[in-house]
Amino acid sequence: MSSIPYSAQIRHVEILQRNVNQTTSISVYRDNALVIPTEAKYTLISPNGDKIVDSAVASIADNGVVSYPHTASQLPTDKQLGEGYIQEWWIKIDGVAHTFRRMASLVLRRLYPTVSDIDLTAIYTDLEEVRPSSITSYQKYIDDAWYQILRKIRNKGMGYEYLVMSADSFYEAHRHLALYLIFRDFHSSLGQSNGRYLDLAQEHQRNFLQEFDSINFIYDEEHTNKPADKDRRKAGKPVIYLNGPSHRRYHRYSLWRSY
Amino acid sequence: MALKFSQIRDAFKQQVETVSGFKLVKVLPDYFGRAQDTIAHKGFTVSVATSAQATERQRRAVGVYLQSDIQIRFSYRLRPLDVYPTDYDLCLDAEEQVILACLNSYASIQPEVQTRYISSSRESTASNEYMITTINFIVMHTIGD
Repeated sequence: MSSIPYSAQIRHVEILQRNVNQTTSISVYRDNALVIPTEAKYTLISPNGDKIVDSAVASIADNGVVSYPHTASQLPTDKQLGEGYIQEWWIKIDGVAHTFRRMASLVLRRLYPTVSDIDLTAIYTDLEEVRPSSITSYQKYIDDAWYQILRKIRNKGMGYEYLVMSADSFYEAHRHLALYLIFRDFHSSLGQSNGRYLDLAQEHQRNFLQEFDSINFIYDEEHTNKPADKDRRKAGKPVIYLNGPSHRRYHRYSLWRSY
Repeated sequence: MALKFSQIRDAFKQQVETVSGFKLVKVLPDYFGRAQDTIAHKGFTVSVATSAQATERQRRAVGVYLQSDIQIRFSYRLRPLDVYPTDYDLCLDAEEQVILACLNSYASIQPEVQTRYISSSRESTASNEYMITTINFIVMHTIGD
């Protein structure tokens, strides 16, 4: 057993679609580099403890990414949807085996983001001009913002993102968060204590928090790929009333009633 | 053939515009760079800063020979993650292109126009968003009827 704390890149619960061929993968990092394992095996455990895939050989790409191709028949339509699936990646690095665990959800549909570079440059034309020479797109900021939102959805008890049917619901929040990350990085690079980029970063951070708190969406309560109520949007943040409604008007023998 | 001061300024403007991306900014040259929103990437101004006599006879009928200082100021946007040395170097390269463009022949407007590069100065704005480069030339030319 090695005590080296390798970092598996696990940004979010792995989403597996039911009855679909798909590849699941994991990357392990150490010292700013992808680790290249010598051997890898994959196990998928269902919520009731059954092993759907048991120590199957996983492939290792030249760059070190470990992956396993699921067939549709491994995740058939009678499999229980939802949370509680566990992936176990048995990975041998420098002769020592490590088991990385990642939670997984079995779903009908994934939720895809709706923001891309053109949505950022639509409101900041000069983002095209100030894009760092090391990148050709702001995708890494967009992706990081997306994963932050996915984690926040669960952490705040808003539900499960894969049950949200209206992908557009997260558009504004996602765009503000991506812009916040971009401008904060710009500000950080310039090494100043204030400035336009800091102002913009703070503005978008405020807007993101405001937008996130007011998100509402069409939700698939029963996980049937149908909205619970197509005409009614579910608030991401529940409204809590700290006082009860007036009882007086409901009393049959109200003080205000004359007999 | 005599030339107006404005024609000299316009001739320099046309030479600078031959450099890719350079465009004239419509603010007074003296105001250029004082406020953030007056500058833009590869925006430039041309000013006929001062003029002085040349040591020759001044006969209006044949034209008065003058020496004018031409000042070109341009801004170059620095990308936040490439401020130095990548964009700093690109700004220096752009300055060189502008100098060489301005030293091109002006024979098409006045054969006897002579241009000489004098100096450059470079500074960055407080926000670190732009470099502002000032290039000084001397031009010998003739005004008259």
